[in-house]
Amino acid sequence: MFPLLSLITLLPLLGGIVILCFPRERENVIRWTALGVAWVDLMLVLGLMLSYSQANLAVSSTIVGSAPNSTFVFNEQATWIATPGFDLNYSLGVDGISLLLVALTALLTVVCIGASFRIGQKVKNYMAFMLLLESGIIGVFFSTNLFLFYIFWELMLIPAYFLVGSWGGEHRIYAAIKFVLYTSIGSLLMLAGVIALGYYHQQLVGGAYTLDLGTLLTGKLGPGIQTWLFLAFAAAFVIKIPFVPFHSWLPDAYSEAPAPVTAMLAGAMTKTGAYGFLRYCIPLFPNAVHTLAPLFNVLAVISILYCAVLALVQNDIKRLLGYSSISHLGIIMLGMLAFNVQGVEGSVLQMVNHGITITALFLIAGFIEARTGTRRLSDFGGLAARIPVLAAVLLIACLSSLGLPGLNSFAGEFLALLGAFHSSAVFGLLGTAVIVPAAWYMVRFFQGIMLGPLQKEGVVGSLLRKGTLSDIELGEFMTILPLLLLIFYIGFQPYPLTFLMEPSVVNTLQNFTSVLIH
Amino acid sequence: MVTAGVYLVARANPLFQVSHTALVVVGVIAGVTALFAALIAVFQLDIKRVLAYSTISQLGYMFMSESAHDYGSGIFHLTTHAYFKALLFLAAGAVIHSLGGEQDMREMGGLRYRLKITFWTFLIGTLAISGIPPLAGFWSKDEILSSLLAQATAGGGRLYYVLWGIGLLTAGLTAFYMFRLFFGIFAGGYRGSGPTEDALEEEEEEDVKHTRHPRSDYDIYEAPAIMTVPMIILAVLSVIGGFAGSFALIGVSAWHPLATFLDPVFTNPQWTQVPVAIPVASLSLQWISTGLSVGLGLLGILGAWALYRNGFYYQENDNPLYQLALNKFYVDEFFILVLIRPVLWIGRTASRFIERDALDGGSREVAKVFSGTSGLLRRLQTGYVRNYALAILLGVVLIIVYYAVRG
Repeated sequence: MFPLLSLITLLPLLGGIVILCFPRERENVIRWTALGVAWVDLMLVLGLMLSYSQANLAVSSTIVGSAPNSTFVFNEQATWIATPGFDLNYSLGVDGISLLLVALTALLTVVCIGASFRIGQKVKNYMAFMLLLESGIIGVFFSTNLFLFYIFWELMLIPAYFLVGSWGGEHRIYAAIKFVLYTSIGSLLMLAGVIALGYYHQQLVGGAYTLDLGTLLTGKLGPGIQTWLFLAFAAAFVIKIPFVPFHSWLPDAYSEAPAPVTAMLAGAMTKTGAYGFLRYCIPLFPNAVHTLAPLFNVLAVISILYCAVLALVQNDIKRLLGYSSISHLGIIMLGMLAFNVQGVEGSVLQMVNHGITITALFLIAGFIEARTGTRRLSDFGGLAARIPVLAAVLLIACLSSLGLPGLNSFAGEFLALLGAFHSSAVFGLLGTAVIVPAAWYMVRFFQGIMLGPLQKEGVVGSLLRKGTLSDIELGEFMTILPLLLLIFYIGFQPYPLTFLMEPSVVNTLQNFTSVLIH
Repeated sequence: MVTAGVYLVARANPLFQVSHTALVVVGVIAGVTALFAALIAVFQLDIKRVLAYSTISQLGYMFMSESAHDYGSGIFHLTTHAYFKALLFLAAGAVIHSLGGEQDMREMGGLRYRLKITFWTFLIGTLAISGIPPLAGFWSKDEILSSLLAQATAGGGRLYYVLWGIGLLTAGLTAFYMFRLFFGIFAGGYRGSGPTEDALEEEEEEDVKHTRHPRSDYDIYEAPAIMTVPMIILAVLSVIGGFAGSFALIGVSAWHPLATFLDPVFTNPQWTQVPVAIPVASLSLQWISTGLSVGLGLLGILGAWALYRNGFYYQENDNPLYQLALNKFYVDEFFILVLIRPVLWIGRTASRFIERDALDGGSREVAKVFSGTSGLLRRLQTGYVRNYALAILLGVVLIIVYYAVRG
């Protein structure tokens, strides 16, 4: 069979290597090549999506009420590191959940590379790192072997470190080091967990040492071991998502990194944490997850409300968006931890929606920063009169972020909170309460930049007086257009997304509950 | 839009019917709303603010009615209120338009000669909201008050007597503040002082709304037909809109088209477990209620006439009660104080102490521990032979001492 998944995963990596061979001065060739590679990758993902959904449709039309395509398809497997008694495979597979997140990643890479054309320093390395980041993230979503998963998980970190540390703002080095230290502490604990998981599994069922997800799911570990392994895995995920109080790396990294990088980190990379929770923690350690769910629910609610209140008082617009991002990830986790179909579907849908919306917001914040050289909310005011189109675009993204019905986030957040409410009224209510501060900080953000009296002082004031503040350019608009279209499309019609993920979600939950009962 | 809540309660009547407590809560909030909003409206100076608080007060009526199980009358008042309040807001808009954006009653007066259509339509709206028969507001307000009285006399408890009393009192207040507004706009002479200073100064200001300020009342012209025609249509509706209600009061008990139309909503057994039963007051009770409300309405008009017939005047007043009502009972200030300030305070404090000091500072401290430790360990491997020789010597001494002590 044609190794489509490997191609999708490794094409950006190869593209990055090819770009590194280009002469450094041919910046435009490098930019367009990178964009081309990302485009081809996106097209491949769309092809995969099409054939997946056709298979899904064919099965679900014949067997009503069953869960078709509930396991991984398009599987690719190759023996990799194998000695007697030790068996590590290179294995990829896709199901509805990972498919959507890969599609999101491929799309966001195209958008973010498009938005990076303005970057003029070390273009070659920058583009290569962006493509490498895409490979890492897609690999995380496609892996069905824990060892491979771990490798891709670490692979994401390398380009992310350089992208924050080399192209960021004033305190970029501090932000990059903090980011790497935080995430690698989590990763190391997870690595220990991965190795131990294989060992305990081998003890339990015998045979060769393997880290293949399908094989690992066949054995059921004791609750004590589960708890420790779960905590080791969760350490990596709660930092990546992140949950309060493990989020301290995020405001620094997000505000220092260039806007397209921040958009990639917030839009695609944080989803790997939530995905890991759903893909590995819930199926592998069901008892531990079930026992510790209240703890994680509490953390999710704290993240949601605490970060919303923090977003209210931020003056740096990228920090504000960073805290809002943590708050929204909290809703995603709250929906997932409800362990019912609405909650988990809403959670996955919201991963996609949040990826789209937060990327749009960070990119627009980047456009504004590029024009004015400032990120302080108090420096702005009344810009809508001068840059009406950019204001309209920002307004759409803001309304999407605060969950306006008819736009994308509403469907996801509604489902996630509904699921949370079904599972626990208290957590559901507390999670829903965020609507008030969320509307408050988003309106404050938009109003502070675009509305009110024209800013007379500072950089923005002098730009306004000179009349040199330019509205959105065609290139910028084309970059952000796909996101705007998706904001409306998913808002009107979220069904295609839930259709794709439903069998996988149902299957995950069925396995989870059946393990709990026995 | 603001009446959506009234609709929601009427729509969800099966829920409210099964919970007496919920209806009591609705009633208490409605009564407080009706009375307090009317009191605030009495002291406002901005004409649109008077109308806005009047709307809140009328919403109180609708909810009071719903708390007495009379959802139909609530919806009835919703419709009649829609006619005359839309009329009043449009007419107020016409006034503001003709004055070039002026909204303060102190800067108005004497407009009855200049704005004839606005004057007459505004008068109809004012009479309608004051509950003067046979205009629309009379019928719907009367239905609400008589249902409240009926609920009270049929054993509904003291609450409904109180609500009925509030309804009557508010009717009087409504008539007073509406005619205060009416006389303020149209009676006496023009008190406007011409262009305000700030309108000329702000050359940067992009909207030209404030630039056309009349210097004298001869600069004031009636609004164009596109504004007056809707007002006339609404005025007609404000006159006849009440005829959709029940005519039981004047002996024609068979005429109640709106109630018949709404009936299925409140009696459908599929939805409603506790059927909506409205006790009907006897005709004499109804007349007592009607008489009192119309009487108080007339009293309110009389009061406004006595005070303001020669035009509105305004005096500063230091009376704390007056200040309390003028400042809208400090509701905004209250919420700023107990809700907004604390949330922002939590945010700022958390950003300073938790985010910056504890988490960021904490991770810096951890980093310092590591670099400090490695700094100490580094001294163990300086690369100087003399240091190593010293270490070996110390080690040998220690071993000898150890064996010596152990014997």
